[in-house]
Amino acid sequence: MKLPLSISEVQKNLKNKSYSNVDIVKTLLRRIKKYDKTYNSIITVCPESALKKAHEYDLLCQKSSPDIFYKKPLLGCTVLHKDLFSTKGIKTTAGSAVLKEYYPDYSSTVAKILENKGVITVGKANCDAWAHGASGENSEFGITKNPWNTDYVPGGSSSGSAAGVSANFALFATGTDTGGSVRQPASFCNLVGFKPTYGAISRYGVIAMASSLDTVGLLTHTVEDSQKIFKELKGKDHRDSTIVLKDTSKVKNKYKIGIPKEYFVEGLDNQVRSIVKKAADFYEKKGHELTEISLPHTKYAISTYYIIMSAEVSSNLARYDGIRYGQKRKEFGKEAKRRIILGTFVLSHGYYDAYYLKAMKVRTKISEDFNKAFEKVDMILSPVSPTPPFEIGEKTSDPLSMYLSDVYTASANLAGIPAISIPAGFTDKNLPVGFQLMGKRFSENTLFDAGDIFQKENKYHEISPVL
Amino acid sequence: MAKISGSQLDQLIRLSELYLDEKEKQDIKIKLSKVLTYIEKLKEVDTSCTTETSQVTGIVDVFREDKHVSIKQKKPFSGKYYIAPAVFE
Repeated sequence: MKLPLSISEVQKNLKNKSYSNVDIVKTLLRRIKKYDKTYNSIITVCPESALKKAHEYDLLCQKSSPDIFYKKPLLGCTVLHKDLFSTKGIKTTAGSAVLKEYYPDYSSTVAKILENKGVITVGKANCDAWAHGASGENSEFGITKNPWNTDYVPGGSSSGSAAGVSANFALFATGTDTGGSVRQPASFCNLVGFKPTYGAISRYGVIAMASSLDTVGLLTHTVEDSQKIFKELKGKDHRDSTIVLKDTSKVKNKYKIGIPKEYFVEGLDNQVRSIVKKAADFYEKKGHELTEISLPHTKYAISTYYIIMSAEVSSNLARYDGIRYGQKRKEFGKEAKRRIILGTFVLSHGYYDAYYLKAMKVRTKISEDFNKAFEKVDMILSPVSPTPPFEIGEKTSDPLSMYLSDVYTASANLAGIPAISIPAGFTDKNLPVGFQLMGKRFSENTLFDAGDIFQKENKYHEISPVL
Repeated sequence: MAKISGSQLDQLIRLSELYLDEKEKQDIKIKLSKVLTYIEKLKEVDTSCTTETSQVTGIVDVFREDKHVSIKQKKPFSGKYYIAPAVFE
């Protein structure tokens, strides 16, 4: 069977009985068995529970079709959950040896909602341990490889989510985006990577990295699918007090799109620059207005991000004391240790004001830059990553160069704004490159609309890697 | 270049309850110094009139006024305390 790349395609085929839920799941499980030895995108595959659910949904389809598609709007969808999402009774490792034998007693709100809406969980995706990384190389369950070229990284930290969906092991994947961990791997694997406004989707049951920056994100083939899934996921959850119900979206015929001059400076790869410029030109040709804007504090974003993030990491990882959860603290890997120590340092007496408090103030400046920009424009268009996918091993010995991979994405997390990465072309080595749209807080539907305009006429997302 | 001394690193390791061998300590000292040098460029930013951001979507702590409830108790103890059932045997 030809594997579907969108929700509408899978549901059309289920409705006209071209295939069943069981057919889909069996095909995916066969693919995973055959190809994932090479890519290592999945830590735990769930064949029994996936097949059981598929049987159950096929019976429901027979009994109550087409009503069932109203009750379960995501029926037919298959998902890989980043291994940071707690799933009841299914091993949840966070990519770390500390949690190698951890089986949660409850499911995250996101996993629960998706199950109720008809989604079948195929497996748990590999990731950089504790979501610390931009390449997938920090996983303690082995490196994930990019399905477009196995010499290259798939990006991270939602590495397995991106590689798995790109290799068609599931229709979509969940991820977490704290500094770019959904958008950058999506860009590296030719997928749509969506990061909502801070507080739009519940994080209950998702292993925390940096609580003032963490968001739940999605990796899909199309912008339309991200929008459909987001619609089901957003909303109140009394278990997550950061949730805000708001929609500031304004869908227009013509958008005013800001191009931040600080994002197109030295350090940006030439091929990435020309692909992103081509995407901007497309909008201009369609009658949208491009205007240069300034986000003057951009150059301080990574410093600010690494201070705040590591401070919150040191606090969040303190709960893994070897008593309540999993293994002892000596099991922490190198990157987690580095971040815990850096975080402890910036919070310690005598350094708190100089580092942590200072970063919290610069965060205000970065946020204000965006607020000012959104007074003039509807959205901002930029690169996702300064480079195309890089080679495995290229940045592992130099953490700072790895941290700089987040230079165009971390600002959105500091300001709490939504952003989406969309496939926009390929380099001369046939490696995917995406561009990013960022909007004001709670303007997700504006971004989806603009992203959809691009995908309707630029079909890069329909190209799959040859495995 | 910003540096973390050996004793400072030992203190941080102790505070964060981690275990690092000598080789790891040397490695982390070099890498952290590089990162600290980089993040020190925040000093350039004038934040004298800026307040810090810890929450981005405008959520604030929710408080309510305390409600004063009078407790009816027949036998106040020394006029000031109330007699309650014993917790410990």
